[in-house]
Amino acid sequence: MIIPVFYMVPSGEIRSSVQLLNNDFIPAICLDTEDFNEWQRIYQFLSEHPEFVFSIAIRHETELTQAQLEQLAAFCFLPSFFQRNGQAPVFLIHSLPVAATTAVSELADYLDRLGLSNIRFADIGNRGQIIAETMDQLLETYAIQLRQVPDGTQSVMIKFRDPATHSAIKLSLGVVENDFKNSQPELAMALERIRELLKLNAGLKTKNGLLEEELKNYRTYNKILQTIHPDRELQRFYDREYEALPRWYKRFGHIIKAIMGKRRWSSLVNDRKKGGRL
Amino acid sequence: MTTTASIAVFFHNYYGDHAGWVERLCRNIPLPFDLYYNVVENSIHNAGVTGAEILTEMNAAKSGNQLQKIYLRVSPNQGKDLGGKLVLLDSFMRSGQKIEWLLFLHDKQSPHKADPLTWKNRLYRILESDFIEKVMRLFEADESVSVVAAEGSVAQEYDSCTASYKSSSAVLIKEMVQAYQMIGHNTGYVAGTMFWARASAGSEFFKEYSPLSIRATLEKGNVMDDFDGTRTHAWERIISWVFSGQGWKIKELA
Repeated sequence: MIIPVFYMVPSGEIRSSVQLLNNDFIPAICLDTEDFNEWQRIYQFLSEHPEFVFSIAIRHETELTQAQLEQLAAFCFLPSFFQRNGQAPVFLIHSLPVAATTAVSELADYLDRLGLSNIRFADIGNRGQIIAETMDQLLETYAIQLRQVPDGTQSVMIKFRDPATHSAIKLSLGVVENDFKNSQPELAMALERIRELLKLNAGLKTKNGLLEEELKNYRTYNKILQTIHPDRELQRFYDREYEALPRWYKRFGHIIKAIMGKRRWSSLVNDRKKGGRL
Repeated sequence: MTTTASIAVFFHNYYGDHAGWVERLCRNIPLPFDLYYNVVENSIHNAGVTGAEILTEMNAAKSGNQLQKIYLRVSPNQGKDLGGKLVLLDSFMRSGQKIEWLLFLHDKQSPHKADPLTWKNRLYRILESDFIEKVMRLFEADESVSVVAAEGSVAQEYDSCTASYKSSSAVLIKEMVQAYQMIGHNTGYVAGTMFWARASAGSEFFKEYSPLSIRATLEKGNVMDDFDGTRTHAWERIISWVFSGQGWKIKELA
């Protein structure tokens, strides 16, 4: 699919649906705060099957408990947790906007403290995410999204239980895509190019950030090495034992070296000519 | 055919070379083991590689029949190797597996040290097969031993005269020892955070203080403690004490 299509899957059906969906749609596994044991079972399943890409939709009316927050974070650490251009959506389903707002900020704050700052919350209850509740709605929504200038956030969520099979839905969406490509080929091509560039840009931005970080690391290592390097001790020894001596004593030492043949007389004169300190 | 693993290896990867590490682990570990493997996603060495690609690379590098399962996790750089190992500990606890021995490892490079190779070689001694056999014999023979590390890797920073730690993270260490009620703990710790541990020795602690709640307190990025103390480096000490508190012993082996 050109636009990512999420398919809301009740947690009880994950085992049967995920394999069927995975090649075409991204299963958004619906987790209810009322049934936390099910969250753990789903986690075990996904942990054992890293080949299934997934996302999560949390059904909640109250704030999440600490155990639920940690379980959500554990889902986000799985390698198959869906991400696009460095962003990973988590869907929230609720009917109380005020309670939900508090919950979202707490969720975001907790995940950020674990380093998970790339999670983007999509609020289904407040229409923050485009959802399709019927087949007609899906096709219409998909056609509109296809024609929008891509910004990396476009997606559609299928929320209906339809007698149509997954493959029938895929087929219908394929027809919508072809219609668009045939009716407005230039626009379709231009939008596709923008999508490619967005992806490339996101990749380069990430790489640039990482290289800057690595450069910063090496500057720190260098600073540490300069601070702790054994050469510093040697320099300190030299400064303490030799540089601290009076100048006349050091000059006398150079003359003795010249007398003993360990230094040329001319080097003493040359040093003076050059403004050296002898 | 899979066998039940008796060892869980926790490996934190920052520098890539996933196939190389799997090959090395399979070659050296003589007993069935599960591999909990954390990849730092925001490391330039792992940039642009997906979890699926890493898993394919790791599975292709498997040899012998001792590696039972790979549990791959992907996380941002927070708390350095310790932060990654806490993600893996969380995954291990959620798996509900009954494992006897744990092995903590990471791909150490220490580019800030004047002689990183000597230090690295000393720490990786714990991954050599003759060392592993010695560890198993020691765990069987002495039930009071809960942590085993390579000779020369156990550091002692506690000064009993001043009752403080000779470390830039001393204040934080002291605070945490009190917060986690580690009064009377072992004072020696495994520098470098690579060691063998008896799983049962740390299980109660991590039931009370979840690994992720600890990770949430650690600093982000590649923090160093050469100029200032950090919670990450305080935890480098404390993780040894978690597994060696309450009368357990730390042993070094040659």
